[in-house]
Amino acid sequence: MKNSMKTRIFHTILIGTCSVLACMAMTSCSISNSSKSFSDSSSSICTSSSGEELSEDKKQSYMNEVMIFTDSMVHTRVTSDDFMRGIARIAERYGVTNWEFFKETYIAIGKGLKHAGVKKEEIDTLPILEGMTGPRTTMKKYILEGYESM
Amino acid sequence: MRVMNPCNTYGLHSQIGHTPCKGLKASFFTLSLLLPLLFANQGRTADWSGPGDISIIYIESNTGDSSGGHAALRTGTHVFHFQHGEDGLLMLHRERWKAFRYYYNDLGNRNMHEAVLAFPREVTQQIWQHLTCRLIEQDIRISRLHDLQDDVKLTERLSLASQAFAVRGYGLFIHKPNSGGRESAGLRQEIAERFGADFLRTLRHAIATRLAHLPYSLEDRSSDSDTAISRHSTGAAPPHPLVKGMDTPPSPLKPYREQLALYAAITVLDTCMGVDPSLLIAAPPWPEGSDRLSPGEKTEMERYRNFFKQSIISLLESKRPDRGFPLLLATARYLAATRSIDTNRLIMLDTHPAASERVNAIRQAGSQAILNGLMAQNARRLVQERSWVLSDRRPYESDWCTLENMVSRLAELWACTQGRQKMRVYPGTAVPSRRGEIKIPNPPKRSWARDALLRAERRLSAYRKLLNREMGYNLFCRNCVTELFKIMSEALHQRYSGIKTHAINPDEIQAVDSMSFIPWQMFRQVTDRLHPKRVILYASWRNRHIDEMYSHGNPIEVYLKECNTITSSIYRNGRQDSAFLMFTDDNVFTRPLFGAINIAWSVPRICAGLLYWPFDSGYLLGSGAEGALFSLPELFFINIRKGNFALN
Repeated sequence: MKNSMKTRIFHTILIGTCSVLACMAMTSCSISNSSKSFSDSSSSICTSSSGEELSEDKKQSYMNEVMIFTDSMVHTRVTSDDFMRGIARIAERYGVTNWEFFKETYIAIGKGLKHAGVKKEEIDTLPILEGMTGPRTTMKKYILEGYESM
Repeated sequence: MRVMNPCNTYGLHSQIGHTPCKGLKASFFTLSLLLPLLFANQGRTADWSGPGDISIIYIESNTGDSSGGHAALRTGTHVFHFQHGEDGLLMLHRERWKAFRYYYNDLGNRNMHEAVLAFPREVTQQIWQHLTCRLIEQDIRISRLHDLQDDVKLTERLSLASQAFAVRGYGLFIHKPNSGGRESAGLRQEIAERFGADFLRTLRHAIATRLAHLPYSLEDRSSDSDTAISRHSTGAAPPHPLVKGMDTPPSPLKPYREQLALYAAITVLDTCMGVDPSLLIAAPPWPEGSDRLSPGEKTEMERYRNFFKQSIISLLESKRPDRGFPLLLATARYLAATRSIDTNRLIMLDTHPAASERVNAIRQAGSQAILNGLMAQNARRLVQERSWVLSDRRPYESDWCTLENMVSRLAELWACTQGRQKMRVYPGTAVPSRRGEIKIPNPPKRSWARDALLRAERRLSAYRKLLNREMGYNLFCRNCVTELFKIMSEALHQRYSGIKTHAINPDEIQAVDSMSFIPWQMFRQVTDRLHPKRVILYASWRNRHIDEMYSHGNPIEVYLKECNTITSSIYRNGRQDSAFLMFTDDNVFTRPLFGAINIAWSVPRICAGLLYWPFDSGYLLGSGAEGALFSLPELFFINIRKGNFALN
């Protein structure tokens, strides 16, 4: 009698657990593209910030990502081309395709170099910047601006 | 490292929370798909305020997405969370907190619990950096996957007789010489004045010559790098996560595709191609006259046109390997701005991807009136945004991109308020990037292409396996909970190994990580072990409104009216919900009884679904079966389904 009760409780728990797991397994941690559109759409109406606020925040966020990327790449053998492709990938998520035309990129690179412990006099000879700085002194100026601001 | 100002908004949220735009609330869910996503800055391109406190968020279960519940980590105004993507990979996402909460708490109708952890600022910073690193690494990996897919497509095309390839951005143009009229001719003239009369033609020929030899040398170069996973990292130290991402097998034909894109861009400039008129979108004339440019806006539009011209020149001088697409886009934007100025109307490039989903606008919205209301609301938002972007300030490409997305989406909504049925929708922010086919100059031999195709397919298959191994979703071992705690644990151990204080103990984080894979269980561990400063409950949309109704009306009457989907004044049945009659989330004791009623409610639907299967593609049957499945746990006092407020 006692054993049969135990078995029944065990079966009940087992069925309950299985049904919950079956439900979870269907769509755990998932999101559909439609839902993403939906989420984006809805927040566009009611939870968006002003253009000015968003613009500045985006710029800061972009600069932080470029800084982290530079910091982690500078002591590797990543080529200048690959480094530029990496920056381009980050930039495009922020709606920027011509990142070379965006002084914040260079300021952020300068900050990343400082954070990575690169000496100021080494900046000119860094392989990852070969294709980028070249003769364009304004870029170097912004890189140094970022470097010195850290 | 620059120290960011904390943006601690905790405690400011009431239990009721914000109830945005109440009048249109019911329709928002409906609007989901069709809504014009006017704001380009959702999701990972969202705003920034640096890390404040760190909170662990637990989102209760519901049908639809993440039915077993969900977990996230909040730092200031951002939320990081892992989601199971359609390709089977578990992807890290960053969202704005407001948007995240609106999606899960209001539209998803789920209770949310937030445990604010008492971590010191530098710990918060460390975790935030680790998460951001992971995002960048993920981007690198996914981009590698796309590159390898493109290698397969390219070699496929090269092995065919047509030998043309779809270049990103080239589809924005009409592929006929001089189709751009005087605007394109004027741009060509300015380039000639700066770089010399034959600059474009010479460059084009040089690229075509390069393309003739490039594929062979690229393949040779790549032969020994396919398995060289650690070719980049230096020294004996373990590679940085980003370096690991960069160290995956590269796409050998990427430089070839980049040169092809540059060839396409130079061809557009050299032959004065114009933008495809079907991709030039005018701002809708609502409110009246808002399609026109004011004198001030016209001046700003001229500044932007000049900005794009300078951008084209700088890209022509650049040594970037991937400058082809930016050059095509800057040219198209220059021509769109010129058209705007010439016609005195706000005209922008269409941001909708070619494969955008199309939905029936009125059916999704519920009524024409709701659609009109949305149009009005979003049109006002566009007026605000353009007054900001087209103001007397330094031009920014990202601001322009935001405006492009808004105009494109609003124009779709406008067309549907004027009688068009189908509306295009897409998630997130898009950069105009239509692909267009260009005939490959000096293509490699087709026999080489056939061999290259086999090699490209092998590389792609190997990389997919690698990604699945390292990022593949697993319900028990790699889900939204386990990955979040793994990252926290890694971040803390990296810097605080051996340090144990009351506020931060990496071992406790690891303990939560190893013991939990179910969101609610994880949250219980967090509140027990990590000593949160405070725990906040954000009641779901339905619970908040029922509480309000209880406080103003007769509780029995309110309960009887709101306990089921038929008489409820809050709930609107939508296609996202499967068949159910009784709500079971707010009363534990009646749950088994209501669960049985819900199962009984599903049975006729299942039977009818079997009959209707040929006519509704199995929708009714699926809805009934899912309804019964999600009712089963209710028999055991467990609630998953709470009713969604999103109709899609």
